[in-house]
Amino acid sequence: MSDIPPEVIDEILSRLPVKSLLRFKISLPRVPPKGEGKYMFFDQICGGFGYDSLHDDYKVVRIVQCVFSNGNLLSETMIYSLKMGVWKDGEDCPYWLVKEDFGTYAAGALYWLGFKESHGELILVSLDLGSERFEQVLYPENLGKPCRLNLAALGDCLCLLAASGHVVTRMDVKNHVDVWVMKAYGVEQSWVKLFTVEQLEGRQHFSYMRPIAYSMTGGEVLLEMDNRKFLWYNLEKKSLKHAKIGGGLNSFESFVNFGTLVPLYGRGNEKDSKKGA
Amino acid sequence: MVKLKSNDDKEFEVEEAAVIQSEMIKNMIEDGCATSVIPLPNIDSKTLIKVIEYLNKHINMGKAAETGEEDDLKEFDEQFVNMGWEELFDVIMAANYLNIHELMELCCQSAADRLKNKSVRAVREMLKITNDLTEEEEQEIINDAPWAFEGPEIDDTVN
Repeated sequence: MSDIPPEVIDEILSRLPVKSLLRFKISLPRVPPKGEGKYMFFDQICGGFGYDSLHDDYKVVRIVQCVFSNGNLLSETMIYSLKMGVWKDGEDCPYWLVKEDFGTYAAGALYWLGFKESHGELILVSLDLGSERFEQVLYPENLGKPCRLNLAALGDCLCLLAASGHVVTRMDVKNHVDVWVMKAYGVEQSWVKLFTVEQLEGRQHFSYMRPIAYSMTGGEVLLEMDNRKFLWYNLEKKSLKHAKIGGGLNSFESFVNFGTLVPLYGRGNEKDSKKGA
Repeated sequence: MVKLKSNDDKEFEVEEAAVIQSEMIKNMIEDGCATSVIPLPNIDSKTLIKVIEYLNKHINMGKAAETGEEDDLKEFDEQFVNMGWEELFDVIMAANYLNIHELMELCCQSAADRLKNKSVRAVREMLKITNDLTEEEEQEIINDAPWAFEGPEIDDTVN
Protein backbone atom coordinates (compact mmCIF):
# COMPACT_ATOMS: atom_id res chain seq x y z
CA MET A 1 0.00 0.00 0.00
CA SER A 2 1.47 3.28 -1.06
CA ASP A 3 1.22 6.56 0.83
CA ILE A 4 -2.28 7.94 1.01
CA PRO A 5 -2.70 11.43 -0.40
CA PRO A 6 -4.42 13.96 1.91
CA GLU A 7 -7.38 14.48 -0.43
CA VAL A 8 -8.18 10.78 -0.23
CA ILE A 9 -7.99 10.85 3.57
CA ASP A 10 -10.34 13.86 3.43
CA GLU A 11 -12.82 11.85 1.38
CA ILE A 12 -12.84 9.12 3.99
CA LEU A 13 -12.89 11.33 7.07
CA SER A 14 -15.77 13.43 5.74
CA ARG A 15 -17.93 10.32 6.06
CA LEU A 16 -17.33 9.88 9.77
CA PRO A 17 -19.31 11.21 12.72
CA VAL A 18 -17.88 14.12 14.70
CA LYS A 19 -16.88 12.05 17.71
CA SER A 20 -14.68 9.82 15.61
CA LEU A 21 -13.17 12.90 13.99
CA LEU A 22 -12.29 14.48 17.29
CA ARG A 23 -10.62 11.27 18.27
CA PHE A 24 -8.75 11.16 14.96
CA LYS A 25 -7.58 14.71 15.30
CA ILE A 26 -5.41 13.39 18.10
CA SER A 27 -3.96 10.71 15.86
CA LEU A 28 -3.19 13.13 13.07
CA PRO A 29 -0.17 15.37 12.84
CA ARG A 30 -0.80 18.80 14.24
CA VAL A 31 -2.05 21.53 11.95
CA PRO A 32 -0.37 24.91 12.04
CA PRO A 33 -3.09 27.55 12.39
CA LYS A 34 -4.28 28.85 9.02
CA GLY A 35 -1.72 26.53 7.45
CA GLU A 36 -2.09 25.12 4.01
CA GLY A 37 -4.80 22.52 4.55
CA LYS A 38 -2.41 19.65 4.19
CA TYR A 39 -3.94 17.70 7.00
CA MET A 40 -7.66 17.48 6.72
CA PHE A 41 -9.43 19.82 9.02
CA PHE A 42 -9.81 22.47 11.61
CA ASP A 43 -12.30 22.05 14.38
CA GLN A 44 -13.84 24.22 17.01
CA ILE A 45 -16.38 24.11 19.77
CA CYS A 46 -18.83 26.96 20.30
CA GLY A 47 -21.34 27.17 23.08
CA GLY A 48 -24.10 29.21 24.57
CA PHE A 49 -26.55 29.49 27.40
CA GLY A 50 -29.93 31.16 27.67
CA TYR A 51 -33.59 31.16 28.58
CA ASP A 52 -36.29 29.59 26.41
CA SER A 53 -39.51 31.44 27.25
CA LEU A 54 -41.61 29.14 25.07
CA HIS A 55 -40.94 26.16 27.33
CA ASP A 56 -39.91 28.10 30.45
CA ASP A 57 -36.57 26.33 30.36
CA TYR A 58 -32.87 27.18 30.46
CA LYS A 59 -30.71 25.65 27.76
CA VAL A 60 -27.03 25.02 27.24
CA VAL A 61 -25.88 24.68 23.63
CA ARG A 62 -22.73 23.00 22.36
CA ILE A 63 -21.74 23.12 18.71
CA VAL A 64 -18.82 21.11 17.37
CA GLN A 65 -17.64 22.00 13.89
CA CYS A 66 -15.04 20.52 11.58
CA VAL A 67 -13.97 21.87 8.22
CA PHE A 68 -12.15 19.78 5.67
CA SER A 69 -9.58 21.11 3.27
CA ASN A 70 -12.05 20.40 0.46
CA GLY A 71 -14.39 22.92 2.10
CA ASN A 72 -16.94 20.45 3.47
CA LEU A 73 -18.42 21.45 6.80
CA LEU A 74 -19.42 18.97 9.45
CA SER A 75 -21.40 20.31 12.35
CA GLU A 76 -23.02 18.74 15.38
CA THR A 77 -25.31 20.50 17.84
CA MET A 78 -26.20 19.26 21.31
CA ILE A 79 -28.70 21.05 23.49
CA TYR A 80 -29.05 20.51 27.23
CA SER A 81 -32.37 21.27 28.87
CA LEU A 82 -32.12 22.19 32.54
CA LYS A 83 -35.76 21.29 32.98
CA MET A 84 -35.38 17.80 31.55
CA GLY A 85 -31.83 17.32 32.75
CA VAL A 86 -30.76 15.70 29.47
CA TRP A 87 -28.65 16.39 26.41
CA LYS A 88 -30.30 15.86 23.06
CA ASP A 89 -29.31 16.27 19.42
CA GLY A 90 -30.12 19.62 17.91
CA GLU A 91 -30.33 20.78 14.34
CA ASP A 92 -26.95 20.77 12.63
CA CYS A 93 -25.74 24.31 12.19
CA PRO A 94 -25.45 24.93 8.45
CA TYR A 95 -23.03 27.84 8.97
CA TRP A 96 -19.40 27.98 9.99
CA LEU A 97 -19.43 30.04 13.17
CA VAL A 98 -16.68 32.48 13.93
CA LYS A 99 -15.19 31.09 17.06
CA GLU A 100 -16.33 32.69 20.23
CA ASP A 101 -16.50 30.69 23.41
CA PHE A 102 -20.08 31.70 23.96
CA GLY A 103 -22.75 32.99 21.66
CA THR A 104 -24.43 36.28 22.55
CA TYR A 105 -27.76 35.78 24.27
CA ALA A 106 -30.62 38.20 23.78
CA ALA A 107 -34.40 37.77 24.07
CA GLY A 108 -34.71 34.02 23.75
CA ALA A 109 -32.04 33.44 21.12
CA LEU A 110 -28.30 32.95 20.82
CA TYR A 111 -26.35 34.81 18.17
CA TRP A 112 -23.05 34.26 16.43
CA LEU A 113 -21.30 35.72 13.43
CA GLY A 114 -20.52 33.14 10.82
CA PHE A 115 -20.07 32.19 7.20
CA LYS A 116 -22.45 30.55 4.77
CA GLU A 117 -19.70 29.58 2.36
CA SER A 118 -15.99 29.30 2.86
CA HIS A 119 -15.32 32.49 0.89
CA GLY A 120 -18.59 34.23 1.61
CA GLU A 121 -19.40 37.29 3.64
CA LEU A 122 -19.78 37.36 7.38
CA ILE A 123 -23.41 36.81 8.32
CA LEU A 124 -25.45 36.99 11.50
CA VAL A 125 -26.69 33.59 12.68
CA SER A 126 -29.34 33.04 15.33
CA LEU A 127 -30.45 29.98 17.24
CA ASP A 128 -33.96 30.41 18.63
CA LEU A 129 -33.92 28.53 21.94
CA GLY A 130 -37.66 27.83 21.65
CA SER A 131 -37.78 26.34 18.16
CA GLU A 132 -34.11 25.27 18.35
CA ARG A 133 -33.59 26.28 14.74
CA PHE A 134 -30.68 28.12 13.16
CA GLU A 135 -31.46 31.07 10.94
CA GLN A 136 -29.65 33.82 9.18
CA VAL A 137 -30.72 37.23 10.49
CA LEU A 138 -30.39 40.12 8.06
CA TYR A 139 -28.27 43.13 8.92
CA PRO A 140 -29.74 46.64 9.07
CA GLU A 141 -30.43 47.85 5.53
CA ASN A 142 -28.16 50.87 5.78
CA LEU A 143 -25.35 49.24 7.70
CA GLY A 144 -22.80 50.48 5.20
CA LYS A 145 -19.49 48.70 4.84
CA PRO A 146 -18.04 48.26 8.30
CA CYS A 147 -14.51 46.94 8.63
CA ARG A 148 -15.32 44.98 11.75
CA LEU A 149 -18.45 43.51 13.33
CA ASN A 150 -19.07 42.43 16.89
CA LEU A 151 -22.08 41.36 18.88
CA ALA A 152 -23.25 42.39 22.32
CA ALA A 153 -26.46 42.40 24.34
CA LEU A 154 -27.99 45.60 25.68
CA GLY A 155 -31.16 45.58 27.73
CA ASP A 156 -33.01 42.64 26.26
CA CYS A 157 -31.90 43.33 22.70
CA LEU A 158 -29.14 42.17 20.43
CA CYS A 159 -26.54 44.82 19.56
CA LEU A 160 -24.51 44.88 16.42
CA LEU A 161 -21.28 46.86 16.77
CA ALA A 162 -20.10 48.04 13.40
CA ALA A 163 -16.66 49.63 13.34
CA SER A 164 -15.79 51.75 10.33
CA GLY A 165 -12.48 53.15 9.29
CA HIS A 166 -13.17 56.40 7.48
CA VAL A 167 -10.60 59.13 7.73
CA VAL A 168 -12.21 62.55 8.19
CA THR A 169 -9.24 64.85 8.29
CA ARG A 170 -10.94 68.05 9.47
CA MET A 171 -12.25 66.54 12.65
CA ASP A 172 -9.42 64.10 12.93
CA VAL A 173 -11.89 61.26 13.39
CA LYS A 174 -10.13 58.14 12.37
CA ASN A 175 -12.66 55.64 13.34
CA HIS A 176 -16.12 55.20 14.72
CA VAL A 177 -18.35 52.43 15.99
CA ASP A 178 -22.07 52.38 15.22
CA VAL A 179 -24.20 50.66 17.82
CA TRP A 180 -27.24 49.07 16.20
CA VAL A 181 -30.03 47.53 18.27
CA MET A 182 -32.54 44.96 17.02
CA LYS A 183 -35.84 45.83 18.68
CA ALA A 184 -37.80 42.78 17.50
CA TYR A 185 -36.36 39.29 17.10
CA GLY A 186 -35.28 38.54 13.55
CA VAL A 187 -37.09 41.54 12.05
CA GLU A 188 -34.81 43.34 9.63
CA GLN A 189 -36.86 46.56 9.81
CA SER A 190 -36.53 46.69 13.60
CA TRP A 191 -32.83 47.59 13.56
CA VAL A 192 -32.25 51.03 15.03
CA LYS A 193 -28.97 52.87 15.14
CA LEU A 194 -28.81 53.79 18.82
CA PHE A 195 -25.66 55.88 18.80
CA THR A 196 -22.19 56.24 17.38
CA VAL A 197 -18.96 56.43 19.33
CA GLU A 198 -16.27 58.31 17.52
CA GLN A 199 -12.68 57.53 18.01
CA LEU A 200 -10.54 60.57 18.62
CA GLU A 201 -6.80 60.57 18.20
CA GLY A 202 -5.00 60.48 21.52
CA ARG A 203 -7.64 61.49 23.98
CA GLN A 204 -10.14 58.77 23.31
CA HIS A 205 -8.51 55.96 21.49
CA PHE A 206 -9.73 52.41 21.66
CA SER A 207 -9.49 49.24 19.70
CA TYR A 208 -12.49 47.54 21.22
CA MET A 209 -15.69 48.89 22.69
CA ARG A 210 -18.94 47.31 23.79
CA PRO A 211 -22.09 48.47 25.54
CA ILE A 212 -22.82 46.87 28.91
CA ALA A 213 -26.12 48.23 30.21
CA TYR A 214 -28.53 51.16 30.33
CA SER A 215 -28.49 53.48 33.31
CA MET A 216 -31.45 53.33 35.72
CA THR A 217 -33.11 56.26 33.93
CA GLY A 218 -32.42 54.78 30.50
CA GLY A 219 -30.80 58.01 29.38
CA GLU A 220 -27.24 56.71 29.46
CA VAL A 221 -25.43 53.59 28.33
CA LEU A 222 -22.45 52.16 30.16
CA LEU A 223 -19.61 51.29 27.77
CA GLU A 224 -16.51 49.23 28.30
CA MET A 225 -13.36 50.06 26.35
CA ASP A 226 -10.40 47.78 25.81
CA ASN A 227 -11.00 45.95 29.11
CA ARG A 228 -9.49 49.00 30.77
CA LYS A 229 -12.17 51.58 31.42
CA PHE A 230 -15.88 52.26 31.73
CA LEU A 231 -17.60 55.25 30.17
CA TRP A 232 -21.12 56.62 30.26
CA TYR A 233 -22.64 57.60 26.92
CA ASN A 234 -25.42 60.15 27.25
CA LEU A 235 -28.00 59.36 24.56
CA GLU A 236 -29.55 62.85 24.58
CA LYS A 237 -26.40 64.97 24.70
CA LYS A 238 -24.44 62.43 22.63
CA SER A 239 -21.51 62.89 24.98
CA LEU A 240 -19.13 60.62 26.85
CA LYS A 241 -17.84 60.83 30.38
CA HIS A 242 -15.64 58.56 32.40
CA ALA A 243 -17.27 56.26 34.90
CA LYS A 244 -15.18 55.90 37.99
CA ILE A 245 -14.77 52.51 39.53
CA GLY A 246 -12.94 51.85 42.73
CA GLY A 247 -10.16 49.35 43.12
CA GLY A 248 -7.77 50.75 40.54
CA LEU A 249 -7.80 47.78 38.22
CA ASN A 250 -5.51 47.88 35.21
CA SER A 251 -7.43 45.37 33.22
CA PHE A 252 -10.69 43.55 33.78
CA GLU A 253 -13.51 41.66 32.21
CA SER A 254 -17.12 42.53 32.86
CA PHE A 255 -20.28 40.42 32.86
CA VAL A 256 -23.86 41.44 33.25
CA ASN A 257 -25.34 39.65 36.22
CA PHE A 258 -28.90 39.41 37.41
CA GLY A 259 -29.32 38.64 41.09
CA THR A 260 -31.94 35.99 41.67
CA LEU A 261 -32.90 33.62 44.45
CA VAL A 262 -34.59 31.21 42.05
CA PRO A 263 -32.41 28.14 41.57
CA LEU A 264 -31.67 27.32 37.93
CA TYR A 265 -31.81 23.58 38.16
CA GLY A 266 -35.13 21.98 37.38
CA ARG A 267 -36.46 18.56 38.08
CA GLY A 268 -33.16 16.84 37.34
CA ASN A 269 -30.54 16.24 39.98
CA GLU A 270 -28.18 18.97 38.86
CA LYS A 271 -25.97 20.60 41.35
CA ASP A 272 -25.73 24.36 41.41
CA SER A 273 -25.41 25.66 37.90
CA LYS A 274 -22.12 27.43 37.47
CA LYS A 275 -23.63 29.80 34.97
CA GLY A 276 -25.91 31.72 37.32
CA ALA A 277 -27.54 33.93 34.66
CA MET B 1 -13.99 -0.94 -27.16
CA VAL B 2 -11.28 0.83 -25.20
CA LYS B 3 -7.99 -0.79 -24.27
CA LEU B 4 -6.49 -0.20 -20.83
CA LYS B 5 -2.97 -1.26 -19.80
CA SER B 6 -2.00 -1.86 -16.18
CA ASN B 7 1.46 -1.05 -14.78
CA ASP B 8 2.42 -4.72 -15.03
CA ASP B 9 1.78 -4.62 -18.80
CA LYS B 10 -1.51 -6.48 -18.96
CA GLU B 11 -4.10 -5.22 -21.44
CA PHE B 12 -7.84 -5.18 -20.86
CA GLU B 13 -10.64 -4.41 -23.29
CA VAL B 14 -13.59 -2.55 -21.86
CA GLU B 15 -16.77 -1.29 -23.50
CA GLU B 16 -16.71 2.43 -24.01
CA ALA B 17 -20.11 2.81 -22.30
CA ALA B 18 -18.61 1.22 -19.17
CA VAL B 19 -15.26 2.94 -19.16
CA ILE B 20 -16.65 6.47 -19.52
CA GLN B 21 -17.85 6.24 -15.92
CA SER B 22 -14.27 7.30 -15.36
CA GLU B 23 -14.22 11.07 -15.82
CA MET B 24 -10.55 10.90 -16.68
CA ILE B 25 -10.95 8.40 -19.52
CA LYS B 26 -14.14 10.10 -20.70
CA ASN B 27 -12.19 13.32 -21.10
CA MET B 28 -9.40 11.51 -22.91
CA ILE B 29 -11.88 9.97 -25.35
CA GLU B 30 -13.60 13.30 -25.93
CA ASP B 31 -10.25 14.95 -26.59
CA GLY B 32 -9.34 12.19 -29.03
CA CYS B 33 -6.41 10.97 -26.93
CA ALA B 34 -7.67 7.41 -26.57
CA THR B 35 -7.08 6.05 -30.04
CA SER B 36 -4.80 3.22 -28.98
CA VAL B 37 -4.05 1.66 -25.61
CA ILE B 38 -4.45 3.85 -22.51
CA PRO B 39 -1.57 3.17 -20.11
CA LEU B 40 -2.41 3.34 -16.40
CA PRO B 41 0.97 3.57 -14.64
CA ASN B 42 -0.57 3.80 -11.16
CA ILE B 43 -2.77 0.73 -11.28
CA ASP B 44 -1.76 -2.92 -11.16
CA SER B 45 -3.70 -5.61 -12.99
CA LYS B 46 -5.22 -7.09 -9.83
CA THR B 47 -6.77 -3.74 -8.92
CA LEU B 48 -7.73 -2.95 -12.50
CA ILE B 49 -9.69 -6.21 -12.74
CA LYS B 50 -11.69 -5.16 -9.68
CA VAL B 51 -12.35 -1.72 -11.13
CA ILE B 52 -13.46 -3.14 -14.49
CA GLU B 53 -15.73 -5.61 -12.71
CA TYR B 54 -17.37 -2.64 -11.00
CA LEU B 55 -17.63 -0.58 -14.19
CA ASN B 56 -19.26 -3.44 -16.10
CA LYS B 57 -21.79 -4.08 -13.38
CA HIS B 58 -22.67 -0.42 -13.09
CA ILE B 59 -22.77 0.19 -16.84
CA ASN B 60 -26.46 0.97 -16.93
CA MET B 61 -27.14 2.55 -13.59
CA GLY B 62 -30.13 4.48 -14.92
CA LYS B 63 -31.73 1.42 -16.46
CA ALA B 64 -31.23 -0.62 -13.33
CA ALA B 65 -33.36 1.80 -11.36
CA GLU B 66 -36.20 1.47 -13.88
CA THR B 67 -36.22 -2.30 -14.10
CA GLY B 68 -36.02 -2.96 -10.38
CA GLU B 69 -32.46 -4.25 -10.48
CA GLU B 70 -31.48 -1.69 -7.89
CA ASP B 71 -31.46 -4.22 -5.07
CA ASP B 72 -29.27 -6.44 -7.18
CA LEU B 73 -26.77 -3.62 -7.60
CA LYS B 74 -26.85 -2.84 -3.90
CA GLU B 75 -26.05 -6.44 -3.13
CA PHE B 76 -23.22 -6.36 -5.64
CA ASP B 77 -21.80 -3.22 -4.00
CA GLU B 78 -21.93 -4.83 -0.57
CA GLN B 79 -20.09 -7.86 -1.86
CA PHE B 80 -17.68 -5.73 -3.84
CA VAL B 81 -16.27 -3.88 -0.83
CA ASN B 82 -15.91 -7.09 1.11
CA MET B 83 -12.13 -7.10 0.66
CA GLY B 84 -8.98 -6.56 2.66
CA TRP B 85 -7.92 -3.10 3.90
CA GLU B 86 -4.89 -2.82 1.59
CA GLU B 87 -6.87 -4.06 -1.38
CA LEU B 88 -9.64 -1.55 -0.59
CA PHE B 89 -7.08 1.22 -0.56
CA ASP B 90 -5.66 0.15 -3.89
CA VAL B 91 -9.17 0.43 -5.35
CA ILE B 92 -9.71 3.84 -3.68
CA MET B 93 -6.46 5.11 -5.15
CA ALA B 94 -7.43 3.79 -8.58
CA ALA B 95 -10.91 5.31 -8.33
CA ASN B 96 -9.35 8.60 -7.27
CA TYR B 97 -6.90 8.54 -10.17
CA LEU B 98 -9.49 7.52 -12.76
CA ASN B 99 -12.05 9.86 -11.17
CA ILE B 100 -14.90 7.38 -10.85
CA HIS B 101 -17.23 9.18 -8.50
CA GLU B 102 -19.59 6.36 -7.48
CA LEU B 103 -16.79 3.89 -6.85
CA MET B 104 -14.92 6.45 -4.76
CA GLU B 105 -18.07 7.06 -2.76
CA LEU B 106 -18.64 3.36 -2.13
CA CYS B 107 -15.08 2.50 -1.10
CA CYS B 108 -14.50 5.60 1.06
CA GLN B 109 -17.70 4.87 2.95
CA SER B 110 -16.48 1.34 3.57
CA ALA B 111 -13.12 2.66 4.76
CA ALA B 112 -14.87 5.15 7.05
CA ASP B 113 -17.08 2.41 8.51
CA ARG B 114 -13.98 0.39 9.34
CA LEU B 115 -12.17 3.36 10.92
CA LYS B 116 -15.12 4.39 13.03
CA ASN B 117 -14.55 3.89 16.77
CA LYS B 118 -11.03 2.57 16.28
CA SER B 119 -8.37 3.56 18.78
CA VAL B 120 -5.89 6.32 18.05
CA ARG B 121 -3.13 3.81 17.53
CA ALA B 122 -5.20 1.74 15.12
CA VAL B 123 -6.11 4.80 13.07
CA ARG B 124 -2.49 5.85 12.80
CA GLU B 125 -1.50 2.44 11.60
CA MET B 126 -4.40 2.13 9.17
CA LEU B 127 -3.80 5.53 7.57
CA LYS B 128 -0.01 5.20 7.75
CA ILE B 129 0.39 8.28 9.89
CA THR B 130 3.58 8.81 11.83
CA ASN B 131 3.06 9.96 15.38
CA ASP B 132 4.70 13.38 15.72
CA LEU B 133 3.85 13.91 19.37
CA THR B 134 6.43 13.58 22.09
CA GLU B 135 5.68 11.18 24.93
CA GLU B 136 4.83 14.07 27.28
CA GLU B 137 2.52 15.69 24.75
CA GLU B 138 0.75 12.41 24.15
CA GLN B 139 0.36 11.79 27.87
CA GLU B 140 -1.16 15.23 28.26
CA ILE B 141 -3.75 14.46 25.60
CA ILE B 142 -4.48 11.08 27.16
CA ASN B 143 -5.17 12.87 30.45
CA ASP B 144 -7.38 15.46 28.75
CA ALA B 145 -9.32 13.09 26.55
CA PRO B 146 -8.99 9.52 27.79
CA TRP B 147 -12.06 8.45 25.80
CA ALA B 148 -10.18 9.06 22.57
CA PHE B 149 -7.68 6.36 23.41
CA GLU B 150 -10.29 3.75 24.13
CA GLY B 151 -11.84 1.65 21.42
CA PRO B 152 -10.95 -1.45 19.48
CA GLU B 153 -7.50 -1.97 18.12
CA ILE B 154 -7.02 -3.34 14.64
CA ASP B 155 -9.40 -6.22 14.03
CA ASP B 156 -10.59 -8.41 11.19
CA THR B 157 -12.26 -5.50 9.36
CA VAL B 158 -8.78 -4.33 8.53
CA ASN B 159 -7.26 -7.44 7.11
